[in-house]
Amino acid sequence: MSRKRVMQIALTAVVAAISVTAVLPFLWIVTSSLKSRAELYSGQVTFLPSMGWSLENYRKMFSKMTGFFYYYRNSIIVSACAMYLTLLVGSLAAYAFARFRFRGRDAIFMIFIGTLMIPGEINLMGQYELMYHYGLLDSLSGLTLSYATFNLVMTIFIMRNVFEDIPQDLIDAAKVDGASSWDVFWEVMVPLGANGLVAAATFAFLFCWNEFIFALTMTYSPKAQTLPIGIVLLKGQWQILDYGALFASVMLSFLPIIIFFILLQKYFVKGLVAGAIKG
Amino acid sequence: MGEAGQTRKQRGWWAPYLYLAPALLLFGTFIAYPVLRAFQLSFTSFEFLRPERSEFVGLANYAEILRDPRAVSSFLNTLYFTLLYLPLAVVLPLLVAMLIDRVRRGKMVFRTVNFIPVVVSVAVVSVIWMWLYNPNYGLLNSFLRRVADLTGSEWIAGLTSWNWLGQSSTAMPALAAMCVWHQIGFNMLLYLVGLARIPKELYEAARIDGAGPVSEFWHITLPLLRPMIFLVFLLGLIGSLKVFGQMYIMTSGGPADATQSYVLYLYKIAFRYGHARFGYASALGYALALVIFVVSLISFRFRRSGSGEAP
Repeated sequence: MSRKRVMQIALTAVVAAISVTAVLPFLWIVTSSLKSRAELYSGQVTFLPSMGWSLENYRKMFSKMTGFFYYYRNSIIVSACAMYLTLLVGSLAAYAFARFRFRGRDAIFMIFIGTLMIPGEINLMGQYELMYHYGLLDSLSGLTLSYATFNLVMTIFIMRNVFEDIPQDLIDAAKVDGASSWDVFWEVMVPLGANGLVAAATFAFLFCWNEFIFALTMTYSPKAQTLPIGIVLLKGQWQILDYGALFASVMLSFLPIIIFFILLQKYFVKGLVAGAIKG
Repeated sequence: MGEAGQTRKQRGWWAPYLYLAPALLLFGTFIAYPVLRAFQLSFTSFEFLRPERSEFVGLANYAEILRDPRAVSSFLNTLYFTLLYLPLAVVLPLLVAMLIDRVRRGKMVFRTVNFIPVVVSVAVVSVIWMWLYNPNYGLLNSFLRRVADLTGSEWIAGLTSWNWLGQSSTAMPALAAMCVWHQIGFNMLLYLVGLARIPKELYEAARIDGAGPVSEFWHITLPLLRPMIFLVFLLGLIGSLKVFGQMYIMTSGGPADATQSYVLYLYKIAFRYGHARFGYASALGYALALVIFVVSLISFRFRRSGSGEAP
């Protein structure tokens, strides 16, 4: 019996060590962002600040790195708008797929799902041209439309399954009360599919918040550049001049999303697992 | 014909099409059109910065890929990356998942903490790891310095100012190591989902039959986890064939093209070099799609032929 306990303690220790490796790079950024400038430039690399904790880097970031807040703002706007758009458009389509019988339904669905097999990079050239011609390059609306579309198929896929599982009785009951199919969508489907919607939403939001190659291609000024692009640009500009302030900005770019994840992890996990298994 | 019964009378047969219309509009504009446009462009010499010179060239772009040494070497680099990355990205998360699965207390906490890197973007992770790898003020070399002091190993001492990303011998392994670290949490989660689906009675029955943990692993865990291992393998394979951001950010494909991935080369052809050769870049894109399609097909074949033992 005690051998079992020893084994369990050893196992927990190993797993704890592995878990520390998973977050060590982030922790190092957090501790480094709290080091004083003198220490950062002293050439001694430590994990914890050895010359005292300091908020100097954060002060400097707020006063000097104005670009950072543009990138932050753009990421929030694009991710939130694309998320809502994809949820609205996607769940309406999922409603059609799940609850109606119409000509071409299965064919259209297969085409949607089929495009998941095509690498997104193929879209780069065509989308660039399109956005160029319609004045959507380097704009938040262009990026929002593009991101909403990338998440659309995923959202339709998740929400179709969710809507199919809603009992027909509830729909019939609503219709007895005189509800139209539009009312049924808002009064039955959306409330009962809320868990699925949140899972799809977190999936979409995370995609938009982290996306790199399209943001890199379709935007070229702080007017529309998002955080992933911004952090790379700031690193290029500031790594020699003042990398303490950079540590602070990198830290602010990953902290909210990690907290967000920990709070909503149930949905994150559901959305991401569904996303992986569909492919 | 609506299953939605009487609503048919109010909304008519076109109701589902109406619900579908916004999705079709977005999909048609931002996915279907670019995909078809790229297919058309791949047979032309179209350059974005001088579109007037575009002409139909048949399969010339596709033939050029095979004759273009930089395209071929970028593909080989991608394969090299895959070879370094994929085995570890499949096996390590399985180990982590099996360990976490056996922990009695704090399972959820460990699962959560190990998943954290997954939610952070490739861009931020790459920037952080550039610091870790930095020859002078990076955590890795400072750690090695400490180890060298403690052990007195000359070999380790020789590495303490090594430029991991700047030397062509270590640049790709360093990138692959970072990608493995970044991916472990996600694959671990898929494995945990798979492990949770294995009926516990099987293990109890095996234990009654006197099976040890090793034989349990080979005869129960591994066969029943096969579909999930396959999924992790295939997603990892496709992901590594499309690897881009890490190279773009950390090495720009250098030193001397040693880490130039295929998609990075495609990107440079389309948006960095010369007159933006969209035609050739489209052909590169479709060639990649073909490769991905073929490896997926082969993988599925493999799975089916070997699935005799898996229920």
